[in-house]
Amino acid sequence: MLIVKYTKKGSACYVSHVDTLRTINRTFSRADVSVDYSEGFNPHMLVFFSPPNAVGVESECEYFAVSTKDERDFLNRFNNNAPQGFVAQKMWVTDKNPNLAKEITRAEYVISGCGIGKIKVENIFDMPEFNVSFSDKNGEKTKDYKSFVLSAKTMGDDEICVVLKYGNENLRPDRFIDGLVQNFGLGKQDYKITKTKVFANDVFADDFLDNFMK
Amino acid sequence: MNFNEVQKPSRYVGGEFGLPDMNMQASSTFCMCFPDTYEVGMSNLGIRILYYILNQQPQLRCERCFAPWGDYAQYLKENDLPLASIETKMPLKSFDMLGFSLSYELAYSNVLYMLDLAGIPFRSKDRDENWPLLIAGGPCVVNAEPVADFFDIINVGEGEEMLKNIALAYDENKGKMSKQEFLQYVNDNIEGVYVPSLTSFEQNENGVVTKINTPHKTKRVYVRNMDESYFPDKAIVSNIELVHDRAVAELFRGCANGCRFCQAGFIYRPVRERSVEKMTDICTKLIANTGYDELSLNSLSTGDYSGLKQLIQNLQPLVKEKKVRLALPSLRLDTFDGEFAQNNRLSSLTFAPEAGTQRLRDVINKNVTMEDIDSSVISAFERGFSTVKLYFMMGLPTETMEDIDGICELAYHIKDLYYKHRKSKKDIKINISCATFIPKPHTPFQWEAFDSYENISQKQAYMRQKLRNRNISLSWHDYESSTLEAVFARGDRRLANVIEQAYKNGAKFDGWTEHFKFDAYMQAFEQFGLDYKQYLRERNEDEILPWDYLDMGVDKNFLLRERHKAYQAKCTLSCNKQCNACGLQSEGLCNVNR
Ligand code: SF4
Repeated sequence: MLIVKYTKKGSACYVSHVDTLRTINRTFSRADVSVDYSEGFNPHMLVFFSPPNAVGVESECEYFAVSTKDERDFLNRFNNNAPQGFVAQKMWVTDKNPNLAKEITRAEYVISGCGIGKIKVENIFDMPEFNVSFSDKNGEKTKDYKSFVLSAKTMGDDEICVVLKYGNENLRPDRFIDGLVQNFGLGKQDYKITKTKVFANDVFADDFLDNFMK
Repeated sequence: MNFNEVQKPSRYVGGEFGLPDMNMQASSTFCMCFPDTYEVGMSNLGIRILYYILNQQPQLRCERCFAPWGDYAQYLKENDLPLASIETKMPLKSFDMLGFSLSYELAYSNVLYMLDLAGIPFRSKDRDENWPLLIAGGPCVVNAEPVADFFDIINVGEGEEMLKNIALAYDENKGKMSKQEFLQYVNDNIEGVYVPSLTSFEQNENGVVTKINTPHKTKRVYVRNMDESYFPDKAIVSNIELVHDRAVAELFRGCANGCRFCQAGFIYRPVRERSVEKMTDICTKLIANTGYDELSLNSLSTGDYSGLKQLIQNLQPLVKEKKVRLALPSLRLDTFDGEFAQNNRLSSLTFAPEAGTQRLRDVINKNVTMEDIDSSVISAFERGFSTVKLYFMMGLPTETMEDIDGICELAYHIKDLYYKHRKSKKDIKINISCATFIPKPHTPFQWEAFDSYENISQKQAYMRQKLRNRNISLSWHDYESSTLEAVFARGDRRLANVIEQAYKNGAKFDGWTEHFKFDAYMQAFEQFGLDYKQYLRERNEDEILPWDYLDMGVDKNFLLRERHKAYQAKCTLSCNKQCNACGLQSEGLCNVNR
């Protein structure tokens, strides 16, 4: 089993989770990586992903685990055959599956856009609730997301950094921004969101994987 | 509006695997435009081929643009952005050349939609040297008169060499010639080029063409040696799922069968195959370079490929080691072979008998007999198939209620065969899909009338009545959209006004049921005092047809002979068995005994 950390930047950040699975599978085929397949009528490559990233969010910290023994020069082979923006950074070799989809529970985002640093996002923790209204396929809803915001700090006039729940319990960063618009009077605009780190509880995922190897 | 609210942004941002280097210095720029969505356009084989051919020329840079979905069009408008290419985000109006692929008539309004979003004047006469040169290609150009006024150049035939030559001629003469001089130059020097502004029509009050004023007939060009012609062994691999999301290799062009309703069977003659060796090489490289897990062996009639068994055998390593599924579209009924089906884990069987009685199948020269149908269906049922899809046409020349009855009887007959031969425990499902026959230029049926709404409704009602059975489902092609397609297919220049007005009335994405606005066209016809029914009528055999300035290589007399044979329900043998002297004999490309 090979665990790979990769980035999804530029055009790649618009590739949805389902499309990412297919894209990575095709990258393996082009790179001629011999990946193990599942048994059964419709065999598929054994690849396991960290939780889905929201479409439009650039990421510096995506992970997948792939069942293969073909590790030779893996990062280069992958990068030469991946679409723009998908860049493998680092890898771990193990014989166990770390179950990334379950273990990874938090993500750090840097959000930038004109004036976003001026709203004092830290005040979120003094509020009794952080209600966000949104609509999904079941209609209009309002939900208190206060417990989903784990840290928030101002990085300058035009940038903030937050840690949000991620994975099974999830607050999408674009919905978090909607919450800032609704609760803090933040202006609506195209904010640039970058996911910079993910965590297994409060352990940085890279450290978690280093420990997992031991 | 926020870009993140746009559905499927991957349609517009590019960055796919397989892009040529866009940073190279090129002296001329070309944008390949497809008047439908990214997912449809990226599935188009012609575009895949031409894109790489143009990018291989050091002087040229070729990019892509597709018709944006409504949400992205709104985003562009709200942010005051012109429609731009995917690769370098250059506005379309800054390109030297725009090439539009016209694959189906119902995409015409989308050409205007794209030009509008790009801020480019619609009519060729309103664009001087400072605007991009607009070139059209694709199957519809065998009668592109309805959109001729919008284009500067129309490419008739297979584009590989022609488009490259036009683009290189443009590059060479850029800044040295006026637009008019350049159009005259390509008209005189490049085969297959049709310059609409150099041709004019005289028509009587009923719209019948009385004279075509043209410098010379435009001769269709085609590739003579398929093994020597370029075929990309790579592809741009999209990040989102396409309509046909797979590797595509082209076995041959043309079709030997000569079904009389089928335009492709006449406009792509003669049959030209790629060798098995070449195909094996292309397929192997395509899979290695794209990573696709499905490979489609394309042609108009894949079962007719002389090396099919050998090729499938050669491709077994891909199937076994790389888990590649082979897709064999357009298999004819009489070539259906269980082996292919089994290799490919199909579960539903698709047949196109096209007509319900042997008589009518002989009229349209669909050389399929009841025995063929029986043996294919039985062999499929014995392999465990339980779903059958049947495609038919209504409104064919000489059709009577007996033929409609024949469709119903065929359905019940197949159902009976199932219960005699089935291996599956499931109940049979038969899906019958009926299109309305559309007479197309350059076919033996180009003179025929398009059937009336009253007739078609009556036939549909009859079938609905007769096929009340829980195992059989019926569906039809929408009559109004078929009508529009029929109008455009045999249309003339007067339709440019109608299309432009219809676009202003809100027509776009006409091929998409949810967007189709027949009223937008009906109003436009009224505004210009044109009767659309004029375009649906039967044509006289001695009438000048609006596309008669084209020399397709197939004689008009041959088409007439075929028409007359149709009325006698006489078949014409496949070109694989005998040459029928269609007019292309002297080309020396058909190796059948004459
Ligand atoms: S020349 Fe003869 S064999 Fe060739 S396409 Fe025409 S009819 Fe068929």
